[in-house]
Amino acid sequence: MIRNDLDLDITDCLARVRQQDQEAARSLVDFLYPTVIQIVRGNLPRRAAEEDLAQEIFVKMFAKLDQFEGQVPMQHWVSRIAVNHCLNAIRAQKSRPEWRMADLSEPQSELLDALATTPGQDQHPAQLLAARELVDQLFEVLSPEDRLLMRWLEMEERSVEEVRQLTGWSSAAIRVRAFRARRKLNRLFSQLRKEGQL
Amino acid sequence: MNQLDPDLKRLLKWAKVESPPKSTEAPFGFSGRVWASRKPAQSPTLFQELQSTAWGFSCAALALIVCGAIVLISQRPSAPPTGEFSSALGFLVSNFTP
Repeated sequence: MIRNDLDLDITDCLARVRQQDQEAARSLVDFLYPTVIQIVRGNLPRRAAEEDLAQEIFVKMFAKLDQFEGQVPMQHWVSRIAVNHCLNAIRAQKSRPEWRMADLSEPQSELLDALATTPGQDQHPAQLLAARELVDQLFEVLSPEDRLLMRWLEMEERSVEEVRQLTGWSSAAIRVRAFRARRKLNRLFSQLRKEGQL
Repeated sequence: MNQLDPDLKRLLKWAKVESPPKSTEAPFGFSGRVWASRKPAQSPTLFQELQSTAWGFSCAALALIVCGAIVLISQRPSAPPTGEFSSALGFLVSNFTP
């Protein structure tokens, strides 16, 4: 029997869901929703509603439920479905723009200057917003997989092992991909700064 | 392992600072919508059952034909009864030809 923090008996719950028990399905969705919505929010395609994407992931999960053999925790199994679904949705947009300094808004350009000059920790809310937008733009140059890795490894500071469990990718593949993604981001970032200094 | 540019790292740190943390609880009615929009496992239709049965029969028939062909090929043709035939021919020639 697999038990978790919320005291949901996954094995029993799955058995009841397979017998079309709606109440069990509701418990399962409520239990897995935080895992799924965090992945969706971190990997949301532009102009997509997070709730719609989460709903599609859960529908897919119910369709594949017979394939779950319990070899990995339920959260990991569902997170892999969520990751693949989000990456496919991002890939479907087929948009990988190359950013130039001229494409950046004024707050974003000022932010780049501020990065080099202000070492302080407390930032103005407008700067934080500009930082989020700038990071989103920088990440758009990366492939969906690299974007996810940079978000999890560099922003959320998750370990390679944690990423491996959530994605099902091998540790070696994660390291190689992360290496290339960092190199690409560094190159783009230094290019933006050089253009800003001209 | 390579590292990110320190300024870029700082930018990511700033970007990470969330305004108000968003709720991670499923919105009201979400699970009901998921349950309603899922595709239930369908039982095979009569046509699908017939199709699978026909496929089984085809495979069995093919296996039978292949086995028969192997048996036929493996049987060596016996030598023609030349001696008996030539004596019968001799009998016919000597008795019935003018």
